Amino acid sequence: MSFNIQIASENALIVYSQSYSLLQNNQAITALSEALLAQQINEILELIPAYQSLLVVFDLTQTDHYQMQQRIKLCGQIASQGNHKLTNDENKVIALPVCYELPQDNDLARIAMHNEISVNDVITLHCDVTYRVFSLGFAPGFAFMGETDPKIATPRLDSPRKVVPKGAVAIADRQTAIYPNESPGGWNILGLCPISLFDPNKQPACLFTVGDLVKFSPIDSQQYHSLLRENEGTM
Amino acid sequence: MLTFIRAGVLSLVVDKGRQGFQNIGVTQGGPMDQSSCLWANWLVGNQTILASVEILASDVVFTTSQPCTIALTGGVSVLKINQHTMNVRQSHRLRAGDKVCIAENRFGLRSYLAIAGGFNVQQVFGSCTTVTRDGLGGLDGKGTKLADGDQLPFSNHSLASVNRTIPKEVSEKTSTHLSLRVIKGYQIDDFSAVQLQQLFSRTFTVSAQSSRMAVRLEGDAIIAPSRSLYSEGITRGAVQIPPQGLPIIMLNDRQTVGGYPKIGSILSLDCDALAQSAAGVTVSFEPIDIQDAHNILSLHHARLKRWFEEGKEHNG
Repeated sequence: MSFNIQIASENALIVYSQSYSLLQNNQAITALSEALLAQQINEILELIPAYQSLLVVFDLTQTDHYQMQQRIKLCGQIASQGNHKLTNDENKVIALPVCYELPQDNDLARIAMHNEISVNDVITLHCDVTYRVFSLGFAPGFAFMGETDPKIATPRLDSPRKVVPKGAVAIADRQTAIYPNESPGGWNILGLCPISLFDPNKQPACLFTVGDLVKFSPIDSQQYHSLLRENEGTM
Repeated sequence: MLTFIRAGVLSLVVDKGRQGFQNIGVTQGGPMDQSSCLWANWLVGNQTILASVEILASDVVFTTSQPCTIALTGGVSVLKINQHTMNVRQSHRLRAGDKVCIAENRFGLRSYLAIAGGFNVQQVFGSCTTVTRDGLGGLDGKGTKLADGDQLPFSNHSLASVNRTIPKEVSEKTSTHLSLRVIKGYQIDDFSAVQLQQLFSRTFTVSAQSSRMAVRLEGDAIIAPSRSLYSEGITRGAVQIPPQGLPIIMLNDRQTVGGYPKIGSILSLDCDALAQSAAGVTVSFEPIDIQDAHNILSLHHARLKRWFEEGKEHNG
């Protein structure tokens, strides 16, 4: 693992992984983030892992860039030696059911047409891959997962929807995601997931962390509605 | 209990902001002008920023059902209590039934209302800060702005009485031009000498499209870098250069990650000033090193500490 540390702001450093592939970079970032978390450094206010970077925001009244850089380098060495627990990479796969019959206003036909394959092929290909959560953002609990089979890669909609329903499973280029709540959005919708992804009253509030593995499986609309009821009952 | 008779265009419950949850996409939020919010809290004797209200523009009226000590800082330039014009740079003791009006905001876009002991508002993710886009915080916990008739409960300590005035040396910033100090960082090495020269020599104008999320600028676009990035964590004050070449300065309600190239981040003190600037204010960028930033901030904090101490002695 090789890391490059840059200044981000008066109280933040950004660490870039310099491996050869996106997967290796994200694994290195996950490992570094876990190593820093394991050290329980009080001065750190935020750790934001993304595709191949880690933003470290710290309390300027307790530490400075020089000290933080040293600590990050040290944790980088710990991560490289693999002494830390690579919890995320040993993680079981999060299995999520998706109803590809809903919502009625979906983009399955558009994705199929764009890639010159059938709608059934789109669903099969979307379910075949085990995805990795590369980053969280855009909205609370919104996980950027990748990468999809290139055969279903589809660019964002030309004009975003004003309302994307809660639980919408969607793709943009070779990324896939689930909208945790109703929001505007420009991704192509494939289906609906009945599982709650983000709930401030739950512990943990967010189903995902960066580095998690996710696999989708198709369900019909009857199963969807019964799972939705179950899911809402537990909230 | 404090009741908003007129809540205005955008009044939000704020505190220090939501911290420690950006890894799951939860926005920081909090006071856009942290300095002014801190002064308001100091005036009423709070040790730190407790639950306060950020008020955009003016024409806001509220009343209290109990005696309390309040202060208003930031943009407010004409403050009326029961129709009488009062000094904005000090704490005020209110009696039950007093009616307070923010009549004018010549000192900036945003005013801060603090109360001794802070308001008593439920916390979500450790903060009562309202972030509308995330649907978190505020009176209902769901990110809703304050509306006419909304009532803010006091905490147990709201009855405390202090009498403080902001020292004369602390001036209101009401400039029509801001020189924003940028701590060089992020992808600055990807920008050519020509691009940087354009950015640091040109004057831009604050756009009406600005919000709590970001200040957008208008003017002569710079040549933007062609390289696209994987999304990465964004700091408060980050200066993004999107493909159209007009800088966007990310502020409190920014999303946690984004993929535009950035040249660094604006110093926090200058973010505060920018947050007070209406559309039409001109800005330029001044590059500084991290060492410069540390010196400026150390000096600022030393000065703030002295002001806080002296202010206490003089006013009790």
